[in-house]
Amino acid sequence: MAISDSRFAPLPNRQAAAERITTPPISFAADAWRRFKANPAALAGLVILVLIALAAFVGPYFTEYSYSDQIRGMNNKPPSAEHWFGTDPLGRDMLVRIFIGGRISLAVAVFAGLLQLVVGVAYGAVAGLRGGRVDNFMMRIVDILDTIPLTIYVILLAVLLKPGLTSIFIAIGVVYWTGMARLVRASVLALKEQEFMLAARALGASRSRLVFRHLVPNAMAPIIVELTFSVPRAIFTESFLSFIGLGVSAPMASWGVLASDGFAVMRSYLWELAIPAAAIVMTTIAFNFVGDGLRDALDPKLRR
Amino acid sequence: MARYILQRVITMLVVAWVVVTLTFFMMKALPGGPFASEKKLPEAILKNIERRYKLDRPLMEQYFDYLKNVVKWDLGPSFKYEGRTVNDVINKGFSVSAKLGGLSILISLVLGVPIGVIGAMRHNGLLDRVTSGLAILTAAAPSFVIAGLLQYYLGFKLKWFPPATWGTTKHYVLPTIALCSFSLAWLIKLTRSSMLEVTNQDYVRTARAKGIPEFWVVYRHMIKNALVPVIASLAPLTAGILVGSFIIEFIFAIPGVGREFVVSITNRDYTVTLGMTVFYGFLLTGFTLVGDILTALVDPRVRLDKEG
Repeated sequence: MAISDSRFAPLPNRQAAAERITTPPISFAADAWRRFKANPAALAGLVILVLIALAAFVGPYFTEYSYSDQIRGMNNKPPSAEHWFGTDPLGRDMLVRIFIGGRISLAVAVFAGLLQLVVGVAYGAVAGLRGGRVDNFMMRIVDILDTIPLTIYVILLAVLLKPGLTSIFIAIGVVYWTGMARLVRASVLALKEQEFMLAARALGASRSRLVFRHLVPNAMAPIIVELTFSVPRAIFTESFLSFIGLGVSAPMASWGVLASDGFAVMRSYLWELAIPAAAIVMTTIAFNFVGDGLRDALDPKLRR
Repeated sequence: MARYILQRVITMLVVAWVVVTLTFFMMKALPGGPFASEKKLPEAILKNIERRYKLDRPLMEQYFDYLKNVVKWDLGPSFKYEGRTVNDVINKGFSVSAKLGGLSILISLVLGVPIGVIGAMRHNGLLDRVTSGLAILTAAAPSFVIAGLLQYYLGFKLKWFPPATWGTTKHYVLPTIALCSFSLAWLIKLTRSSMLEVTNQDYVRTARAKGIPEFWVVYRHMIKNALVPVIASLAPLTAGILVGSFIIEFIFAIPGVGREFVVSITNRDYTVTLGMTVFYGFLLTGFTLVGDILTALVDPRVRLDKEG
């Protein structure tokens, strides 16, 4: 028995409908930001950091005092309407000194981060990409550097270079890049075997294009996270150096210098320690929150 | 295993040599000599002193002399105090520092690991929240601030414990709390995250599926594996305690090696700084070696990875 064609009807073409993207496409950065925003602690940390940075860089222009001016008869005055954070043993306004100190401490942190980024990322990328004997040799150097008690060398470098901002920059920068180098090498090793690398190479991409266009952007997430955690470390090292007398020299101040100056008089004038210490604690915690938030936001595996 | 240990020992010897060499040449690169900071000495006397300390010899000869002396464990004289050698400083202070540091490491381990484990088991429970908060706070404040506050409130105000110096058991309390706060916080965080990572492993699910009692799953399958990174962190932990002890001993006026190190820096007593750097370098190298061997003992993956 023959079935006539009229009994058949073509199904609607569902293919196009199935492939249609219903939600608007979202870039990786936008997605990361969306997930970062959903984390209240991380968002609070970011807001605090922005406020602290603003205060440090703009704050000094809004007060009539300068960080080095000593006001006669105003030694060790507690916080008041005139001097929000009180005054120090030499009668200097603490508020503006905290602002200025923030500049120095944040500058140390940012510089240490940048140096880590440049040296650590380049070193790790080269070791990972070259592989083989070059990699082995380069990583043995990192192994040796890691075993050496680095903080002691920071001290030694600071002694050597004469106390001051430059020596703190150099000491922290020279010493703290090994962790970053390891991290970048590990990501590069994992990434370079992947198909997109093969494709890029097959298309004849140059080595620098391979590194800067394909490898580094893909390894960016762990790099950024490592950076946020390294900043508190730099601020800590700076305050440690200041405490043992290797900080920036007077009348300049950093949070570390202010805290260790305050430490000397804490029994009578507790706020002179408490305020710079609070600045350090707040910044460190904020960076940790932001780092935690970024780690979750940038991890594609946690994408929902 | 023997091959692995041998390999590590050789690496550590190389590290020790690098430490000595680096430190020596860094100190030599200092502008001016160790006597330059003194008031101006007549040329002839300066020459005499330099001959006395063999500073007029060629640099490489001085370097090999220093290497030889280090091998014989003679770290040289102090340039600031007559008749005092770096060895004296270390011999005098080390037992005090070792007690303080050892106690701090012990407390960090004994308290930190269980708290971390419990924190991970009762993830986001009350204890977890409280200890995590405390850990963030102690890890965020510079150690001299914590030490200063402890000394002020518990020492001077409440008079529960002696605020400074060294002697009876009571003297141990404040410096030990101050010294171990950071490493304790760090260990809690490390153990906790390492436990949380193990929780999702396949072998843990297998163990549960086999019907092993929960206690044994946690104890035998999870904790043992979660402790590998903790053991591997022995060296950085010691390093942290060591560096922390510089400040803590200084604040609490404890006659240990850490305080001497800080004093030698402020005094510009270069030979003592140099000698103590070498000493600390060796100490940490030793701890790294022990940590590496322990890690290899508990984790066969490390052993096979490095041998292959």
